Amino acid sequence: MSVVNSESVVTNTRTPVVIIKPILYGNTAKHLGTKRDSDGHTHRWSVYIRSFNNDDLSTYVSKVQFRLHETYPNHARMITQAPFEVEESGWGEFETQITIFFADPNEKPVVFYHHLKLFSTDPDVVAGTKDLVNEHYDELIFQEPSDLLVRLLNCAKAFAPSTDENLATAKEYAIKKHDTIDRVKKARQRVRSEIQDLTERLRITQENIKRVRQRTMDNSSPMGTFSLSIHDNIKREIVD
Amino acid sequence: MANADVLDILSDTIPTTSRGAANKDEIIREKKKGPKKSIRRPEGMKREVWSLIAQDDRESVPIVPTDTKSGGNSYARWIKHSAMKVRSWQWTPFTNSARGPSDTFVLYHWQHKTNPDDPPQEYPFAKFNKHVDVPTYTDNEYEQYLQDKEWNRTETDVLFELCRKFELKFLIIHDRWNNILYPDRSVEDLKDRYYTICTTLEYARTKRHTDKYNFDAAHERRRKEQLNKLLSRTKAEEEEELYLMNELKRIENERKERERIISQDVQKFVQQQDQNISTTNNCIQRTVSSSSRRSSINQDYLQRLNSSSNRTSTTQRITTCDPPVGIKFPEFKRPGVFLRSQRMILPSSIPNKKLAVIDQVLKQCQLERNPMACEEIVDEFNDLRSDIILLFDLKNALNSAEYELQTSLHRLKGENGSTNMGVSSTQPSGAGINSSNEPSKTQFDFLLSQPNTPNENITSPRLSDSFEPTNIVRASTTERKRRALSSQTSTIKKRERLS
Repeated sequence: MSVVNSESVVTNTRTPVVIIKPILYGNTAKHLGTKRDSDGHTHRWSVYIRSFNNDDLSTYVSKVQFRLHETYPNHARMITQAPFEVEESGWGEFETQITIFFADPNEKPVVFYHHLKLFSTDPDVVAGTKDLVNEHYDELIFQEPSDLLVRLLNCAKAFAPSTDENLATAKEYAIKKHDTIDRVKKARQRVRSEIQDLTERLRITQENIKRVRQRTMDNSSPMGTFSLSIHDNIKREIVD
Repeated sequence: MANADVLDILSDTIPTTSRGAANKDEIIREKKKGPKKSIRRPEGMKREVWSLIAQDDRESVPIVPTDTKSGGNSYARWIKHSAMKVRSWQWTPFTNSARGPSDTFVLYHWQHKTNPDDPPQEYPFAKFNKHVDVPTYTDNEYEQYLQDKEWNRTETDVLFELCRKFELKFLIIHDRWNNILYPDRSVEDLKDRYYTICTTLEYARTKRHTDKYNFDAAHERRRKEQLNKLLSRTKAEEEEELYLMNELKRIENERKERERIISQDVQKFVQQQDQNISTTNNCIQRTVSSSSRRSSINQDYLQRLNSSSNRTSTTQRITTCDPPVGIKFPEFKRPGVFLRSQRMILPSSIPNKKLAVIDQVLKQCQLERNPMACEEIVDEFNDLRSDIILLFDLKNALNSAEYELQTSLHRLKGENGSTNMGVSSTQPSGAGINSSNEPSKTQFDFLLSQPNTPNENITSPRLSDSFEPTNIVRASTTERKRRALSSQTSTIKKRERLS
């Protein structure tokens, strides 16, 4: 009852802040070694979504729905508690749809897609020493969340002290981010300079066109009937 | 109505549910519908005829439009008038005064019966019998003014007699002209002689110049010759001419398209440039190539922009984020939860070709299609893709402009070549007679031989070369044609040098 009251009070009061929560989502896959005769499954995979900073997502995420391929029994898997992941086995790649429902039922759920990758050319993965990891970094942007959500977001506590593994991934991502920013900036520079260049050329060409046109008009004024010469020019143009 | 008759006949067998309905709603509904504005059958008309014409519902449109001036009752009015008697006609004799005063030829025709006391009417078509006034000249006048070395007196007299007889119908006069007695004269010759005589006589008599007898024999001859040529074209020639016309139309259209592309893109870039200057200066400051040149371009564009649209430029300076050109990415202003990567989604309005171009450039820059979604990356990445699209558009525009330049130069060369054949030489060291033509000619030659104008400092392979832009103008063959055109101009140059 009290919960209902607080919700009905809180529905339309929003705080004009923007809260950003970085997340990681993706899948791991491990080759089983042999093709299982019973159902032809060759890989064991798990698709997941977790917080980048090792927070507990369940404080503000009520449930996550993973939509698998229709051939899986119960292909709409609803995960209501951490860790938000689905472990399965299979033989083929497909696109999964992930829907995140938030603790505030008034917020619309966020839907996105992830391509489940099983096969890789990386020699380590093929050998079986490393698991295939197909992970993406993304950020949940809470734009003007309701008060309830704000409270939940702000008091999200960590799972556990961050392990070495988590630190390593965090560092990896930091490097990748830095790298990507660099490359994007460089690319922008290149494109910009080419744009400058082309614009200059365009401008010059346009001026030349104007000059030539002017000259053509000056030339043609003393001439009398010139339909013949125009036809000649057209013929010449077409003949090439 | 036939329907009503049928219902009547069958009324005994049809269950009268609707008739005897004591349903309150139905009665109210019927009352509400009210008296329908149906048109009454006019009295003179038969029932079956009326049922064919009449319409129950005003919605269906008749196949043949009816006259609704009097609400559909015009037939009734006609019926009323049809009670009147018919006017009687009479078989009367008549004469045509146009035949001449001494004519007694009598013909008969039907006429409305007129009252016998009215005067007999003139034959109505006699008024069309117009005569032309052909002037006459005295011997004195002839000797004073009308002498001509090619015409002697008798010929002139004969000509005038013919004019009088045939009412200045020169084709007949020409046909009647006696080639044996007199030299052969064309229609223009006869007309010329007649009209010059008329003008001279007019001037001699009234001492005033009139424009009444303006006749240009030379012009007429040319005109008739042209018409004859037109008439006597062979099928092949006609087809060729049509083909040329179509080509001309097509070329003109292409040129208009090019103009549009060029001006559009320059505008776009001008806006972009201006916005770029005001908001982010990082990229510009860091680039290597001559800053002086860029600043001059910036000034130039700023000036142009300011002169054309002052207000828009200032508002653009105020807003940050979206580039006004390129791609518009989805923005989130409303409250809710979103994923950062949603801001990186390309809008679906972008055509496939541009998507391919973006992918290609990203691959060249070793960037993946969807990088990790951090704040800075998203912004930069979106801007980058916008810029790529702009680059693509600019390349298109540049190609169009260059093609345009080539064709204009060729047109110029063609005209120059045809008029100044032996006059000027193309040697730049030159004994050039037309000094005004000379420097411009050499300048344009230079342009022709080098289609890519300014030198670039960038030595690394250009991104813009990696994609083949679409051209409205004959896409796949522009390069070939450009080369062909340039080779042709080189042969023209050779010819002129030799001559």
